[in-house]
Amino acid sequence: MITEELLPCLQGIVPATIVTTTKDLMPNASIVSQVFPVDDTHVAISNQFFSKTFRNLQENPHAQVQVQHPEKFIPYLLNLKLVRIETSGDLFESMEMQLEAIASMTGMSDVFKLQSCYVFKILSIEDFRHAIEWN
Amino acid sequence: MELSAAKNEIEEIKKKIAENQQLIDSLNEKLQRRTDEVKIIQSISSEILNSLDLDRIFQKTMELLDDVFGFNHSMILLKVPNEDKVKVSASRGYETLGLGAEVEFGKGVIGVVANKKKILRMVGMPYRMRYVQTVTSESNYTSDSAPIELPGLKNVKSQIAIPLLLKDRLIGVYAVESEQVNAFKAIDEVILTVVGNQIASAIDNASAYKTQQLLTQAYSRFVPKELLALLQKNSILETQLADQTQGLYTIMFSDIRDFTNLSEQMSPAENFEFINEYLGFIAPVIEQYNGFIDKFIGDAIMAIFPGCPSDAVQAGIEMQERLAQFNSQRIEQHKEPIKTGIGIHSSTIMAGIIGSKDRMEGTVIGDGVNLASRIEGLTKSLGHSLLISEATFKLLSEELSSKFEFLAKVKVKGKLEEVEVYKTR
Repeated sequence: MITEELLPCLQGIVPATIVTTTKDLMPNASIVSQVFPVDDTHVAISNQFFSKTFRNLQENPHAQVQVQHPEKFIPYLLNLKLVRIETSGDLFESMEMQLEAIASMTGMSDVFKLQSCYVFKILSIEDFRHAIEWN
Repeated sequence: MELSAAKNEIEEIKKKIAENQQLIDSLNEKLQRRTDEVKIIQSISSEILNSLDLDRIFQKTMELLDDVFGFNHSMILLKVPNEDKVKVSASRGYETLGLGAEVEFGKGVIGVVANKKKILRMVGMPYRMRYVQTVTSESNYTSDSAPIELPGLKNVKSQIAIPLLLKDRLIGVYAVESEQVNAFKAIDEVILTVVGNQIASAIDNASAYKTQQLLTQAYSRFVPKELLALLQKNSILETQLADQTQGLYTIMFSDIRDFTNLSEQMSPAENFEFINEYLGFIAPVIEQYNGFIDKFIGDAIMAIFPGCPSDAVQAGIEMQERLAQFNSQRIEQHKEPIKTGIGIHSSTIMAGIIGSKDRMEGTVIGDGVNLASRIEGLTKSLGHSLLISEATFKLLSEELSSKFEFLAKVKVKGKLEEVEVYKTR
């Protein structure tokens, strides 16, 4: 479940880390600019380039994403499972708008295009606030 | 042992209280938010109802959102007609107003919103831009287009832009921005969307009103507003055939002597230019003395003075003075001076709308109108450029009537009785 506490982590302020594996469970970590909230139980990430992350997801739909609260710096670990890939519709369009806005400002409109968005079901969320307890 | 258990219990209760307090605080915060939202919506609504001045409505709206929610950098951009661009029309919270700066469709948050006609909220913008730059620089992707210049904050970190829509048509974009990384939350989209709709309908109202005003203005050049006033109508839209009113009016006819000869020496275009120049010189005097021009008949003017007959006579005298100025200009330009005749008569006549259902005209009709025209005709044969009827003479103030004297008793066409005419002393 996406709580109000978690929402600020899904604004794209702090980039997220996503871990996927091949079918032989060889892990790969990569940085994504934003994990988008879709509804209470789903998030999405954007695919602009067909990188290893997306190749891995074809082989193993499970992924782990670490997001961070932009003000409190609390890390959360999201255990996800890929449920569908969208190339049109409201979610796709709203993610596309964000990408277009940023890409056009950096003069990269022509290369930075949203190919598809990957929608994941949230299986569980782990709160890692103890990791910053020292503060 | 017991003491530490009691201590623990107290700690537990303290924690519970703190948690409850947090819940109460958060509910209060939400309640306050709703109250603020309602306040803003109401204030803007009443502002829109009370004013058609868009600049004022824009400023007031941005000021309210600044005061209540601290949205201290905002701008309203309007669609440039026939171009895929929006242009800054009002702004708040910038060192310079930046009015007139343009944003192309598809460029930046504002441009993308204009293009897609959907709200867009972006936070952490510099980090995202850096991400894009890093990814593209590490890959082999290159782009020829340079980063673009956009109006607004140079180091913008968060932005919300709302399309201003009428039905599905984009009329502009309302944008709020901030130098803070996470300035806008999902909840802000709600109030800004409502405000955006309000701004759009204000723009619509104002433009409908403006069109109506322009139409009314255009019509009033054809049907004098004074005539509508006589008919007790506010607008040409209210008039219909057979609308009429009766009253004692003074009618003035004025035209150019030997205009036929004069016009034969000029091309049609020169004729038009001459007449408009002449009328432009003479006609304002009529308005100055509370009269209005009923119609232009070629080189002639037919004017009505609904008020005091002295107004008409004074206007006639001043028109002659104006003519002298007009002629001295003509002489300087080596052109022949012109002569005019003015005839004035007061009578009870009808003002109203005549014509057929597809082609109407507001005018005055009655025997008195014809007589005024005949008197003007006499100016030539009697050799005096300003003649007034007995009826008008008798209604003049003592001071003004002393400037006139009896000239002749004349039989005019269409009249059984002879009419007395008066000339200036």
